Amino acid sequence: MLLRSVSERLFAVLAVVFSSHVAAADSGSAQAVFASVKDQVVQVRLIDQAGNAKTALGSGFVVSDDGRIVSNYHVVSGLVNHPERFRAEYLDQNGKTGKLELLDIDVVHDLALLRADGFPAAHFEIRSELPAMGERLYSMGNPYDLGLTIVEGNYNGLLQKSLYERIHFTGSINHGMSGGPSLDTNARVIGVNVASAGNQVSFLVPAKYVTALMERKHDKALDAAQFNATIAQQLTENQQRYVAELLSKDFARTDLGDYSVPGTLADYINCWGRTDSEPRELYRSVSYHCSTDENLFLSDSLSSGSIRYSHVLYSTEALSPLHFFHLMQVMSGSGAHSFGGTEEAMSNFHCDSDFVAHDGQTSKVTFCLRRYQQFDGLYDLFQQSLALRGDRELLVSTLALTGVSAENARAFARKFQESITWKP
Amino acid sequence: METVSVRGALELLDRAGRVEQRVVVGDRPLRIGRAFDNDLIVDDAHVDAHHAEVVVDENGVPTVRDLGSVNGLRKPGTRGRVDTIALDRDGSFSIGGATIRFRTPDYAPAQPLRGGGLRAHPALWAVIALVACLAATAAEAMMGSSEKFNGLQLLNVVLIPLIVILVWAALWSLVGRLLVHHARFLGHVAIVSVGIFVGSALTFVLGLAAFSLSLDTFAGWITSLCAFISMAIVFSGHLRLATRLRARGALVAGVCAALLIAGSFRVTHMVGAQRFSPAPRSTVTLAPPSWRLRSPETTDAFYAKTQTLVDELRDDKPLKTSQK
Repeated sequence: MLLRSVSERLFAVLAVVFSSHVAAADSGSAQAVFASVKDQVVQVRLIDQAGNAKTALGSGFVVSDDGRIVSNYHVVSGLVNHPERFRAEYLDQNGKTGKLELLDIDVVHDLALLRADGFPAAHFEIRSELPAMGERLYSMGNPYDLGLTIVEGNYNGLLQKSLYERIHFTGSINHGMSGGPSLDTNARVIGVNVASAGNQVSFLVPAKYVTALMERKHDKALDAAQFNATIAQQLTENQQRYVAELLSKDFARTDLGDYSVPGTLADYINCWGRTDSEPRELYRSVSYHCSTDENLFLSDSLSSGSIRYSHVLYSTEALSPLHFFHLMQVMSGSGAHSFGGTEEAMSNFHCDSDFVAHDGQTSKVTFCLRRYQQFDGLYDLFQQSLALRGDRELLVSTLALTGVSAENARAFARKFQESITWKP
Repeated sequence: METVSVRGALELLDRAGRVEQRVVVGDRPLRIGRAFDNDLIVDDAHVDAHHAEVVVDENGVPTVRDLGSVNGLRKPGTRGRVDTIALDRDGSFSIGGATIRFRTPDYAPAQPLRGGGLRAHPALWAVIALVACLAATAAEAMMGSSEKFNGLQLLNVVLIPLIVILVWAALWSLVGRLLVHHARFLGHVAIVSVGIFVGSALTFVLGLAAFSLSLDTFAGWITSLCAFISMAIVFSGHLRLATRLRARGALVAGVCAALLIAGSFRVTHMVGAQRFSPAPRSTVTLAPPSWRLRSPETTDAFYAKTQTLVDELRDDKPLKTSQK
């Protein structure tokens, strides 16, 4: 009896708490937000013209009363890279489909502006200021083609260590939600779904870049050549921004054995260290790897706008100098790094190699460049530098820059090489 | 009792110049051929059953005479057939693929063979060449491994080349048996071993030279050159042993075969280099720093030179080459 009485009281308390919580959530709740904007979010489909079937799925949302829709560039990149093969369509909540026309793109922030003729006038409002830390957000989209979905999460600030501005959204963004809006409780767009690192760690493009894209002049849809020129210009301006900044100051250094080498060059470059000394191995290695965490999507096989470099100091006591350097030669020849891309998009690498001396240190330097076929004035750089000093020690430094001008590639490679010094 | 005047001896020689058979030449005619009723039996498919005979002329000079054979009688080193050859002191002649020489009674048959002891012991040659070859391949495998080799791994890197060499030599022996009725297995083993050894050693040495002189861009050509030399040695040697070709003919045929194969590999490689690769294809040679002979460039000079790459890439549409 006593037990029943206690349980009845507990149930009554829980019922009060639960009902008050539901009442508080009514205003700006997921249900309310979803109901108010569901007709302004669409599924964006890339259709293979030959097979007349969908080949890529994403999401988009209406941003103007003349049917303009924002999505991610990576969702509709097929329209730029292979306009003859693909067309884009939207699918709204009522099952209505229609043709989408690509108006403009922002490859640096992975945005695309499309137009759907005859789309209802209702559209999203863009919120220009950033949310407060911890503010509740809702992300919408079509995960895995399962239908329109709303996901609740929180705003966790802008990424601090990123070359490209991104909002850290703690909520689940899944495949198919790319290009969908992330909203505040008043259903205003604060960002565009763009990427996920899993476990509710997701990233949004800040809404200010949507505003910037919309403010550009869009009289008519661009053709493939104009899109390529636009991408080339955006990539060129983007690389000029960060490479010029890096070149304007001395490279931060770190010590590796008796060498001083380029270290963490900027906040957005992430560096990791590792020592390998297995008993079975005939040599030891101490490595230091750095890279930007993000890069720019250009096509399924090609990304750009990244910086990667590494230093590995190999040493041995067990091997003769001839054996050690022969082994190093075999190892350096077996690990050619793939930069991706296709023959249509990229040239082959052209390389030059020679002994180079700087500050009393002689290195064998191999400098390689390849050219973007569709984007004038842009190149990928690969440089390998082998510091030749001891008979049983070799420092291998590699540098990879993607999507940079030839001048910046050469200047950066030279500065990088000159920053590798021996300090007895 | 009849006395026999000894004019000398006919000696049937093998490929290495060693005497296979010897028969004394007297006043009585001697018949040479493939049939058992000959005085000198030559086991050669290109020799007739009764191919030639040796008679002593009125001046007491032994003369060999063609008995109307299909392939005739030749002077060694010549192609044209002759009807008779006078066998004066140290005279010789060829029938089919066999060489037969005449020796006068005062000739000392016990004189040492040319080339000294090793030549007289082909098995020793073969073993030395095989051991050198296997040592070279094992050293190459060990020097390219980042881990310590245990006995089993060492056995593995020795056993596989050994089997390949033995099978290869056996195939050439089979060819030799079919064409010249001599297998000469050990000779073929020695030849393929020498070829592989020379190829490996040259690749290593020229690789060091490429590093010293900073000729990395020619590394592909160096590899092809070493492969060509190795194949030329192997094919020339095998053809010499397994066919009726003489030294010069075998060398020409071997070099041509090697040129054809190494050249086709090189062309394939060059065509491959024209194809798109998403990774840099530059080859780097390495050796201890003290082996560097070429003076280093300054960073100014090196990076000024990289402008050439930019110009190449700008001018080259569509872009083709991958390695300068």
